[in-house]
Formats: sequence, structure tokens, C-alpha cells
Amino acid sequence: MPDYTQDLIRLKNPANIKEAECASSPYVLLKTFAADAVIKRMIRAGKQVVPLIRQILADEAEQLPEISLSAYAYILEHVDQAEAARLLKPVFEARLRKPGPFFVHVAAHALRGPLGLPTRPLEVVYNKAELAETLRKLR
Amino acid sequence: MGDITGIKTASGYELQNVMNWGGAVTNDADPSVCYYQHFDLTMEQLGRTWRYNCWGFTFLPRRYWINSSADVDMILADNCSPVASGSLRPGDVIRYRDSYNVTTHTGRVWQVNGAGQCVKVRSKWGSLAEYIHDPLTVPVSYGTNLAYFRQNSPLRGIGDLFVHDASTDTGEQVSPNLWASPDIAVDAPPYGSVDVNPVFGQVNRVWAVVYNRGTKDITTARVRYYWANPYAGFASANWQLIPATAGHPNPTNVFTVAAGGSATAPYVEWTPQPVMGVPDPAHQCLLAITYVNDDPTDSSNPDPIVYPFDISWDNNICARNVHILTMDAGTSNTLTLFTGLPDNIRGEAHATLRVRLRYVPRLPVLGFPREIVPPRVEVSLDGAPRVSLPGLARPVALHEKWQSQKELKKVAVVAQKPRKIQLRITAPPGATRGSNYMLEVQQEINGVVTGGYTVAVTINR
Repeated sequence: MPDYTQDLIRLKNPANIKEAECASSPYVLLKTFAADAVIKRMIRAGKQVVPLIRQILADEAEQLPEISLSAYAYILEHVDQAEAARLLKPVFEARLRKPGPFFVHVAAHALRGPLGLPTRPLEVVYNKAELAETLRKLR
Repeated sequence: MGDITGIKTASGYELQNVMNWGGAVTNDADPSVCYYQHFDLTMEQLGRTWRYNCWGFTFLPRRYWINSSADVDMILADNCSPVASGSLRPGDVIRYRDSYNVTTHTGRVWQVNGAGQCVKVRSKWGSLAEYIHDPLTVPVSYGTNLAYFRQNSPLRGIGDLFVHDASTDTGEQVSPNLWASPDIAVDAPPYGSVDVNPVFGQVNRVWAVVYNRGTKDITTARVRYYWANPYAGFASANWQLIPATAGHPNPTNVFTVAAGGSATAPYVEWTPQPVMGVPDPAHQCLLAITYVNDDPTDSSNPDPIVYPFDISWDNNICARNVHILTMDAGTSNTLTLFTGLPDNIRGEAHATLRVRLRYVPRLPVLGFPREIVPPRVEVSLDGAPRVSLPGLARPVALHEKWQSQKELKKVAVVAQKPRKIQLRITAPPGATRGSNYMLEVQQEINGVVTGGYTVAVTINR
């Protein structure tokens, strides 16, 4: 089995995700994820990467940059939606207390669909009420 | 830090996703990164920061991060009008959209070519730095669906200090007028006559009228007053702060400019000296910057300077140099100014120097004379033989428009090495008494007027 650890560790540095730092909105950030070779490889690997992401989030979620955290959320959304909800819930809850530009929106976008809540695929920005609604549903 | 509320478009739509993330600036090694020049001429890189993004750069003088394209689309719809490529001007907004027609990025048109097409853009790339780049040299995620807009009104809910570059200046980027501000006034001794020419060797009072085109009061405005020798292109090093005198500090003490109103800034005392090597009549240019502070990273500044020392790009900065030359028929005068290279052009450039004499028509009058006899204008560069502006090709009546123009092309202009431009004006014995002319010199580089000099010539009655 290929070792995806190094690839996932690389994502801790946003500069390693092609053009991700050029994004001015969560929507554009997701476009860069969709085009990034490493992220695409992680998604192709499927559920194998979930334990590794679980470990990274458990150890470092508080310190991770917005873009990196968003990248892990994006990968989880595409490989295992049930695990995405479980792993992202505590991070989402913590980051909602002091939100940044990207993660709470990317996470909400990943979580809302499976929760039966409407999404905005062409904006990927959610207002405070929608973010709170997402958390309520998660609980 | 946190959400910023109360900023609205012209139609009253409140922006929903304006954020103040705060945050430090880290340097960027890219050679196209932009710099901020402080009043003391030190440079600070406009490097990587989360404080503002492309939309915050385009619409909110670097204060905040706008997180949603929906807000940007509303600004473009309410405060801007579409402009076709081919009719572009520096300062216009460039909008990028992707194949889903979603707005991904904006910037300001930095340079246009002779066909009115955008050739350089200035924009901030996400959390990276502010760059000057070709329109299509951008991240793939921005897309290639480009459109252009001209902003025609400011956002509401913010303050915007403004001094006119000319009476026609609206305060939007970019004003093409560089040396005809109506907002800088001079009062020479004996005091009480506003807006006369400064008198050399005497204490003149200089002040500015400052406007606030925003909808929020600005209570901590100041003005810095500068003088400069007459250049046809100002570099920041040409600007010399007028020394403070007792009771008249420069910069001024703080004052309030109410929303939608104006305020007369405190005056400074200025004792101009004749320019070495420039025979009378000569004059010096006056420049004013209205501002709150000189910190480009301060989001609490209600109106940060965005383009320091740039008269046409920043509506907080203006200059005037109109000089009135009163002549008797049968006399001559020589005016002197210098070529100059603005800070945003490096090293050397080739300029076109355009000299234009324009007759200011009068209402039709009965009696004589009925036609003008204009002054003769000759131009020389670095003492080379003079060339004359064309004279009248046909008789011109007093109420008609008339102008004459001469261009000196491919004039090499080098930073720190000004070249002397001399204008010899001769009013022939038969010059029409009481007639008025505007004599204008423009220096143009790459299709952009970089500076100039205007003299109002009046033939004594």
C-alpha cells in the first residue's frame, strides 16, 4: 500500500498547494484544491487517507493554517462523508468561535449537503445563522 | 478584528462579508511586488498579508478582506459602469470570472496602450502580496473571462478624504489632471487676496480645502504641504516639505471633515525663493496631501493613502502650478521648467513634450480689434536652437477658439537628471490687448501624461 503520510504532511504548508494562497474566497480556494495534483491523489486513494487525517487533526488542528485545514476538510468530504462529519465537528465548533476566511465555510459546505441543508456551490460562503444551523444539525 | 458592518453600495445594499482579520505582513521575493513609500521616503513592501484581499484592495483602500464574490458583484452593479476594452483608462476595474461565470478576482487597470486596451494590472492575490502583472498572467483559478468597469461613486459607510486635482475631478481613480488643483490656495502679502501668485522672498500663506466624499465624518484629518521646482514629471524626491513656522506646523494639526462636507485646513507660512538658474518670472509648484496617518497596515485608518506621492492615482493628493504672466505688447519673457521621471518609471524613458498655446475666447465685441494677434512661443531643450509654435493660418476672431501646438518627440528623460525646457514668449507690438491665452506644457510617457506646467498669459490693456 502506498504511504500517503508524506503527501498529507506536505499539505500542512499552504505554499505546497498550488495557487491556494492566491484565493480570495472559499469558492476560489476549492477550485485550487480541485486542480492540485497532491489533493487529487489523496482523493483517489479514498478511505485509506482517513486515519492519517484523523491523526493530523487530533494532534494539530488548533495550529493548522486555514488553507491546510480546509484542504483536509475537502479531502474528507470527497472520500468519506460520514467520517468527515465526525472528524470535522470538533474543529468546526472550535473555529466558529474565531472564524477565519476559509475553513468554517469550506467545512460547512462539506457538511451541509449530507445533513440535508442547502448549499451554495458557486459562492461557498455561509452567514452566521447558516453556520450555527450547521453546527446544530451536527450535534 | 471581526466582521465589519455598515459599508453599503450606492443602492444601499450592505456588504455582508467584510472582515478584519488583522495580521502581519511578510515579505515576498517576487520582483513584481509593490511597495508603499512613506512620507520620509522609506519603502515598505506591500507583502503577504491576510488583512486585505484583491477585493479589499480594489474597493476598500487596503483596509479589509471581502470574503464573497456576491458582495463584489453588487459593488460592480451599483457603483460601477461597464467599459469596453478599447476605451479603458488607468484606474478602471478589471474583473476576472471563471467558466461558471463566478467572479474570482479584481484589480485596477494600471496601464493601457494607445488602443485603450489594458496591458498592466495592479492587484492583490489572496493572502499573497500586491503585484503589477499582465492581465492574463494570473493563477489559473481566476479564469480568463475578463470584463472592465469604471467606478463612478464611492461606497457608503466609510469616509473618503478628497482634494480635487482639477475642477472636473470626481475623486474616482484616476484623474488625468496633475497640476491644476482648485483646492490649494495662496495668499500673498498684503493678505486678503485669495489665490494670487506667491511672492518670492515674502511670507505667503498656503492652505487647502479638503472634502469628504464619504458618508462618515473623519475627525483626525491632517494636511502636509509641499513645494517643488517646476518639473514635467514629479518624483517623490522632488517634493520638499514647507518648513513649519511658529504656530503653523506642517503637517497641520488634526481637523474634522464632516461626511459629505469640506473643511479649510490650517495654513502654513511659505517663503519661496527664486530657483537657481531660472530667470524670473518663475514659480514653484505646490502640493498637498490630506491624510490620517502614514501606516499602510492600519485598518482603523478611515482613509489610508493607497498611492503615496501619486497625484493622479490618489484622491488625497493634489498639486497646482498655474502661473499668471502679464505682458505688455512688444515684450518677451522666458519661462523655465525641467523634465522629470515619476517614481513608477524606472531608469530612463522617452517622452513626448507637448507645448500648446490656447486662446481663451471672449464674447463677441463691437469695435476694434476684432481679431487676435497671439504671442509667439518658442521652445528649446537644454539650450538647443529654439523651435516655434505655428502662428495663425487664417484670421481668428476674438470669440473663436484657436490653438497652436508643437511636439518634441523621443526626448530622453533620466531619473535624477532633469533637462531644462525653456519657453520664450513674445508679445508682438500688435498683440491684442486684453486677450488671454493658456500656455501648457505636457510631458507624456507611454501615452500617459506624467506632469506639466500651465501659464495663463494676459496681454495688458
